[in-house]
Amino acid sequence: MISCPKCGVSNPEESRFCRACGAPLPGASDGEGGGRRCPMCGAMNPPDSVVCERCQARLVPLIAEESATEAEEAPEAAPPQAAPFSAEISPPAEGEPDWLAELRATMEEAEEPGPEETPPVEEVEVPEWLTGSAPPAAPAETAEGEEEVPEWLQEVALYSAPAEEPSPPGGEGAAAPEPPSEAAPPGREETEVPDWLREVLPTESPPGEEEGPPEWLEAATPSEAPEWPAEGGEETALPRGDEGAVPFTEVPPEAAETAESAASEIPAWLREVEEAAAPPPLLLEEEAREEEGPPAAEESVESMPTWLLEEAAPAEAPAEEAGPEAPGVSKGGHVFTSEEGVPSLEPGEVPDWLKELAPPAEETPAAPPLEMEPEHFEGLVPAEIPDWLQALRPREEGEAAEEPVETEGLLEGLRGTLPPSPLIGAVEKAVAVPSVTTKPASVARAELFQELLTRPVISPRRVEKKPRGPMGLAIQRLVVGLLVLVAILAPMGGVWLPMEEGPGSAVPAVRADVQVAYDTIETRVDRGTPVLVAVEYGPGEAEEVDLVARALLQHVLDRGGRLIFVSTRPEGPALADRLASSLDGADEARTVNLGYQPGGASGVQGLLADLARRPIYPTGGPATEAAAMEGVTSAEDVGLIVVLGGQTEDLLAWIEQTSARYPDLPLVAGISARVEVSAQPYLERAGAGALRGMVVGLPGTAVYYDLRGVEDVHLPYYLQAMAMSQWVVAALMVVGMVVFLVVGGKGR
Amino acid sequence: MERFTKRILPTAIAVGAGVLTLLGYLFPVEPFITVRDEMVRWAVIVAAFAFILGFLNILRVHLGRLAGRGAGRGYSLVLIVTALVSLFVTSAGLAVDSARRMSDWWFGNVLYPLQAAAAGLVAIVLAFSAFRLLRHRRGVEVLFFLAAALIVLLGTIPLPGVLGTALATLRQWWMEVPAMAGMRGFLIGVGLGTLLVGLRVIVGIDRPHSDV
Repeated sequence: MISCPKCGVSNPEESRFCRACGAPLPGASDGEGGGRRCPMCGAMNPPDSVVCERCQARLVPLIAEESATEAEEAPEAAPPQAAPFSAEISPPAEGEPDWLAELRATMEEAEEPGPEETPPVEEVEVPEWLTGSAPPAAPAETAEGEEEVPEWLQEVALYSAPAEEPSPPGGEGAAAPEPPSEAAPPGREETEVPDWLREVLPTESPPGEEEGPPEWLEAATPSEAPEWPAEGGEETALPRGDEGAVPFTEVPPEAAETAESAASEIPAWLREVEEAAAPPPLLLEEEAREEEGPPAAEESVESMPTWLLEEAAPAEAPAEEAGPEAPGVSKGGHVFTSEEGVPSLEPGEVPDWLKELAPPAEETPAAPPLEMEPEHFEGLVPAEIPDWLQALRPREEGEAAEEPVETEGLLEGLRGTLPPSPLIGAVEKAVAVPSVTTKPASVARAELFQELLTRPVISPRRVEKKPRGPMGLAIQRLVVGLLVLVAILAPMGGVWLPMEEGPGSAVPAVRADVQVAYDTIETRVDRGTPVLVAVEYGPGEAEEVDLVARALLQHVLDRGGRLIFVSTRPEGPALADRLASSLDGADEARTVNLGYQPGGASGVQGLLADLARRPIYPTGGPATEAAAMEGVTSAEDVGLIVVLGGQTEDLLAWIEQTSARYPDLPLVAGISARVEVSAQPYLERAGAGALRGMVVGLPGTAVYYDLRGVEDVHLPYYLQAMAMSQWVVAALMVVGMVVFLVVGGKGR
Repeated sequence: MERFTKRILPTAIAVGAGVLTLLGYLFPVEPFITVRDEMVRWAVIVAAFAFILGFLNILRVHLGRLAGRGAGRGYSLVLIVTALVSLFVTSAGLAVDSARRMSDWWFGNVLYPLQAAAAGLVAIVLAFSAFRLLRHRRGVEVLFFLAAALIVLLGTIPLPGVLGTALATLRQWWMEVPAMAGMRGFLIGVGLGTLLVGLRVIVGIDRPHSDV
């Protein structure tokens, strides 16, 4: 048994620290071989080991490795590090709070059955993150005190378990390798505390200075502690924002009220526990320290390992989160308010076991807004934030709640949505559509077209040939043709119609027009008078017009005139030669054929203007060489124009061109009966008119011959054939009218 | 360039020729008369050249029909052969004898009888059509047309007696009053239309001589 030189409690032979007060026991060596105990598996390693030989856990922190090396060089100079952890529980002093006394009594009752023993040492100085590495203590030893002791205090109590774990519960004696007592032999203290931890902890804690806080902790304590703990000690939660935080309400209010007076009486170990667990005790500690003297902060900082300084620096952020009144916060200093306040260590700088104990990163509260001293704002002018930037700033929930709620669409139910553009959905002015007036005819055509489109398609059917009636079309044609033929041939068979003979037999009107023509030739044509004859008919009209032409031209020749034949039709020159050959006295001296002049009305104009330039048909010689052309160069040199026409256009062209350019030049026409109606308007009436007179068809020719007093042997036959055929045709028309009016027809 | 040759140039020529010819008639003084007569000569030459184009065109059409193996190829073949032979006979100045040329003989013995016979058939066709007119058409105008035809036909026949005189008098009235009135109206319409078309061509509104 080894008696603790400090408290006198008996400890097993192998103990390194006192199981009551935690003080190093004399004769305790640094482990069995003076090595290092693995914080993970508890195995002993040689003193110079860095990594556990059993579990490969790192025994010395990386940062503290150099310091540990230095410490190994002077191991004797380094006192045991148990000072902060083995604060002796002093007997209850006067004014001690009830909760503390109760706590002490509970500890003593649970851990030390012997009456002579001091209350069990609560090695609560180690913060929670550090105590987590220790094996849990036996349930039997802490079962009773767990409900009354705060959680942080329970964890601190469990720190002593490594020394107690091997020992059977309740056992005590020298034979036992590990007595149930929590105290360890002083000689083992150095072996249980790693070097790196030894560097972290105060370098030396003499027994006589146990009641004062270690220097390194004094340097870490805030120089200006907040006043809130002293003002009331009311129920206040630890301002860490961490659910795992130990509520300060577990501290009795009486303790806060009497903290200032009892600060000097609180043992060092309890003071350190309070510093590590809750700010109020630190405040008390600070006040008590102020009474003792100013802390040597700089020295303490210098004595701290570098890694701990780096770890302590970020602790300002969570400490400042509570504002300037955050307990345990020292302006510009380091903070060790609680285990939660310790920032996470950098990988590689701490052993794995310590890394696991570190609080999760997400639990670290966000940095509070930076608060600066008023003097820092001197000379600064608040910036004016433009509206557009104000609109972009994050909105508070309260502001968002003021925004209208979207009532429809995909964003239904959301607040603060952007309003739709005013242009979207705005009804524009309708474009004026010009009114279109639709004609009824167009509508009718459209309806017909629509009807045709909607009409069902009918496959074409073979049109059955209707049977002909009793009087088929061919029979009708045959009958009509035969009747006309019989009428034409009837005069040849001696069948004559009764016809008035003599000049009086002609129609009075026909007789008048023929009379004018006859008189014109009689008056205008003398011997050698050139007469321009326009042959403007074709072979189809030749049989009819030739009769008329012969009557007129023979009269001219009989009068001694000269005939100059021209034509605007290609077949005209040939007909002119044929006509001339049928006339008596039509020799080359009195007749000349100037051929065909193309161009229609322009050709007539050219003929009238340039008769002398025309070639002689068919030789092509110059017209001036012809005897009939003697003294004739243009229409002005002729005495009469006789137009023999069978087509309306040709007759009108000659009438119009002659009357326009040569108004005094008389024009007589011998035309077919089909052109009579077209020539009627140009006949001279009452001394006005371009056409002086005309002879129309067989009736006119008959009248003309009658006027001249000559007789044509063929003319009566022609007249009988014409009259007979006209009667037949007239009869067919009447019969057809009656038949189809009675029988009926297709109609319209 | 195409616009100039197909539209501007023909229009300019037509307008210029029309204006110059019109000036020669409106102001029959020199040099308008000379220019007018020259323009008329050019028109005759152009019309003669149109006959050549027409001849070539009818050859092309019927040659195409002959190559296409369509209906009526035989008629086309006869037409082409006849046209070429007529051209050769006329151009060569072949003669039947010393008094008659081949062309005149051809005209007097082929063309003249054929056209005369066709004209004679017209009388038969007109008679048959008049007979069946009410078979196809009915109405007041048809009856009016048939009555007018009967009057003209019967009035032209120099019949003796009162009937002949009455029909002749009725026919004369019909020809001098209703028929002439209608014909005058028709001629006035034609004259106005010709004047309008001439002015439109001269001004350039109508361009029948232009492709575009």
